[in-house]
Amino acid sequence: MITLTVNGKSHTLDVDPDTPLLWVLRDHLRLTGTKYGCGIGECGACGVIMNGDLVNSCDIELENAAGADITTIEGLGSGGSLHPVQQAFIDEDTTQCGWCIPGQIMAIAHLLDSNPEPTDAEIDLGLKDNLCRCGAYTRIRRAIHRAARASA
Amino acid sequence: MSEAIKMNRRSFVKTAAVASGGLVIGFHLPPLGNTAEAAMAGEGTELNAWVVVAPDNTITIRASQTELGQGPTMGNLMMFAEEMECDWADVTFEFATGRPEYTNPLVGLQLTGGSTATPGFWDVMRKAGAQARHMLIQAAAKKWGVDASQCTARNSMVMQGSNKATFGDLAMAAADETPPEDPKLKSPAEFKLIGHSVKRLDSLQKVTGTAIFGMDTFVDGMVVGVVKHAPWSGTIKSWDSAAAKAVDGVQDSFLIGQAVFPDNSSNALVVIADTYWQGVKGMKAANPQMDFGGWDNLDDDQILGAFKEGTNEAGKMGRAEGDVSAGLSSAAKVIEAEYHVPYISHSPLEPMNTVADYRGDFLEIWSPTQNAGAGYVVAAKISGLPQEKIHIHMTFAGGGFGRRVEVDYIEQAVEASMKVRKPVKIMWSREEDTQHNLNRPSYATKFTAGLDADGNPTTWKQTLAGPGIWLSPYRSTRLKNLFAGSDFMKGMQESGVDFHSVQGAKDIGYDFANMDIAWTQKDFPVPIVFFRGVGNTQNAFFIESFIDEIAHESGQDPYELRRKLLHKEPRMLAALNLAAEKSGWGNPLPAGRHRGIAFHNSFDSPFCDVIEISVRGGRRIKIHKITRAIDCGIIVNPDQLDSQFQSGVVWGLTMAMYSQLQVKNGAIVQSNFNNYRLLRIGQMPKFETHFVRNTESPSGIGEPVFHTIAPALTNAIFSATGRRIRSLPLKNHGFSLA
Ligand code: FES
Ligand code: FES
Repeated sequence: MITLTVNGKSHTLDVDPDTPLLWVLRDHLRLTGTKYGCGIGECGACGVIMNGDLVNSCDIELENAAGADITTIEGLGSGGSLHPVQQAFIDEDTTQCGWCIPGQIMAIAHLLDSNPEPTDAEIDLGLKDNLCRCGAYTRIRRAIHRAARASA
Repeated sequence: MSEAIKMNRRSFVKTAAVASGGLVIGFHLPPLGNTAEAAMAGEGTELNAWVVVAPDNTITIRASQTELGQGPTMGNLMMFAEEMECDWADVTFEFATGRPEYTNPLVGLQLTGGSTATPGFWDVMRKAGAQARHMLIQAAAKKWGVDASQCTARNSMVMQGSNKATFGDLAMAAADETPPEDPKLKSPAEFKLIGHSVKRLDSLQKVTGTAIFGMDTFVDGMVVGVVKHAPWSGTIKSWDSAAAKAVDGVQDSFLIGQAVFPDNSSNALVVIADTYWQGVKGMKAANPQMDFGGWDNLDDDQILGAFKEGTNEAGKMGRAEGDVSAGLSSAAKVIEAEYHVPYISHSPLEPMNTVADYRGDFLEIWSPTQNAGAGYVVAAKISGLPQEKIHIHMTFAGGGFGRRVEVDYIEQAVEASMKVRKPVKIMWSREEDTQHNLNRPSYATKFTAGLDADGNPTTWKQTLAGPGIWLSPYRSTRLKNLFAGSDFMKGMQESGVDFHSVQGAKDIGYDFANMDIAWTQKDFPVPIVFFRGVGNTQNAFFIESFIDEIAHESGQDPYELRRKLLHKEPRMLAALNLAAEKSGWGNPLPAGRHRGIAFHNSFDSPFCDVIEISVRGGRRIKIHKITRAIDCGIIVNPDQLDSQFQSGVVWGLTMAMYSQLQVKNGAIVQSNFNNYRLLRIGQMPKFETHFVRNTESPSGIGEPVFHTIAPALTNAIFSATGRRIRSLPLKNHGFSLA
């Protein structure tokens, strides 16, 4: 039995401890906002915040998440309202297919937490692990700047 | 544009549409009866196959085209809402499949692809929207005892004098009205929605993680089927089913790959488990042993060697004009060059998956597919159920790019569900997705050009060699099976020329007195299918590079040469000129900066890119600016278009710099994004887009947006370094992106 907290809710799970956190979230907790793109830490689609750090959930075995506090895309907004990054993605009409989007948003929210007004170079660095096959990069960048302004 | 060429360009879609017509394939689509969707929309009245209006004035428009990210859904909703006179704020949408109305008129199947979503449904959606409006107006007129001609509709309301009623109020009565067969449609000057940027309707779901994609589908009692494929022309010899079953949660393992179409069956082992990760572990324990069917040694050298040889054979003639032999023997100068490109994969970010629930007398499927139409056909063949007893729910799709025109994953899910008699979610890992993709074929080509005394090319000969997506005897598109016996297929079999191999080569707008476009068919078992842009992806690179070579060899400006050659094509010329003008072509550049230009016409949309670069140390490319120009007729949603131009830059640069699947020992070497690289945000250059404004019907966008990037870049590299790049990707030539 492994216990962890996801989006403020505690879960005690009887799941193989080597199961990647990604599949625990998706298959066991049915939190399907966290996406599978590569399974090897190359695409960022599975990004979540764990104990304050941005992690690729495909890279974390459940036993290493025991006791952790995890936020997924479903838990990002607060009190029923959208996170400024989510709002900025809507305002900039950023999404295309949408598969990479939750991971992008988690990475950006995490970036803005420590760096509320990132430069383009800092964005390049902070988002270097997030692939978008549809190629929405220009608009992702615009949404980041918009969210930064909105939270300023 | 000459009629002859126009026919050429459209002949695939047109012929295919005529050919399908239900005769050949015996399509039998369920008549109406998709009550599931109407119910999903909540309370409301269905006015026609496309729209349900609720009493609270929520207008649910049905999307028959898959939302793959390129906005086909949004454009079609706007076309409908424009004529129905909806307030966009009242509009919502749902995906719908299975009714004859949803058939893509340019293809003959409910299929999203070929950049046909907007042009294909341009008349269909506007007409159906106008009919819905007429029904509402007729109902209002009856209610108020006035003549329908006195009523007008606007902002989801019908009005007459002081009378006013919402669509929601009128819907119930309107459902009994018969609309005119051929309602008059608006002229572009009357458009209120079309041509304006409206926001996507799916953003909220996508940014909150609540949009349900195929992989996000869970149904009661569902198990997961993890698949591992046999080599392309091989089989799985054996596996350890006991070891698999010993893994916690694993229930079963068996082979699937029933021969729906024998040349297209793909053998795979499926491990059935409660969850994906258990299935993955089960597959590892099963340790399947492969038989390569005699292709153990297949590799790039063998494939490319055969293609290169093929370019020296006569080939089959795709287009012949004038007298090429005479043109070459009388030429003042003859130039030759050979080019080639590798296999590449679509790699949509959501790997292949589908859920099927076979319940004996009914089959329900949830799939992120571009081709629900083919899905119904294969599901019926496998299950033996009539199509009325099958329902496909189209989910959001995490990209498609042509890959999801194939429905192998639907076949797998149906077969597995029939076997275990439970709902099964078929799951491909990224590795399976990369190594068992149906790919953009590798091709080689050889050009010979004859120049007159003034250096003008008057003779053009291109011989292509490679596999044929439609004609290959190995695994390739299922459409070749679905359209078997059609005039379209017969035409290709007779001519021996595969439509998509010469696409973007035989229909070029350049004017040469003598011209031969030939193709030599060389097939290998590496599976192939349509890739965003299909034949244009290689041919635009080949042709635009060679045109640049001719310009250089004859001492002409590459833009001026193209201008001369396009003199018979005013729309193409306009796009070329616009890009040149906006990029400041011909103006002096700062030291170290160089430009490259490339033009291509595909899907009736002429497109031109000018790329400005500098190259450090002979290898590190810095892109300073990309200037893009297009003529795509009437612009339905400018904002969506802008998104696509951005996407086109990423696709073009990814293909130019990185994309390559290598074949070694009968398999693909690359397996995941660590060795099959995609562009990242830090490499995204600045670009600007310019439109040729006109009122032509809208033409394709999703595909034409990236063909000219690679040749414009390699032409700029030539200008900067003197190195002529004759194969992709650029990483193989030592180049990287700064
Ligand atoms: S799925 Fe985890 S990084 Fe790609
Ligand atoms: S929106 Fe499709 S992968 Fe990013």
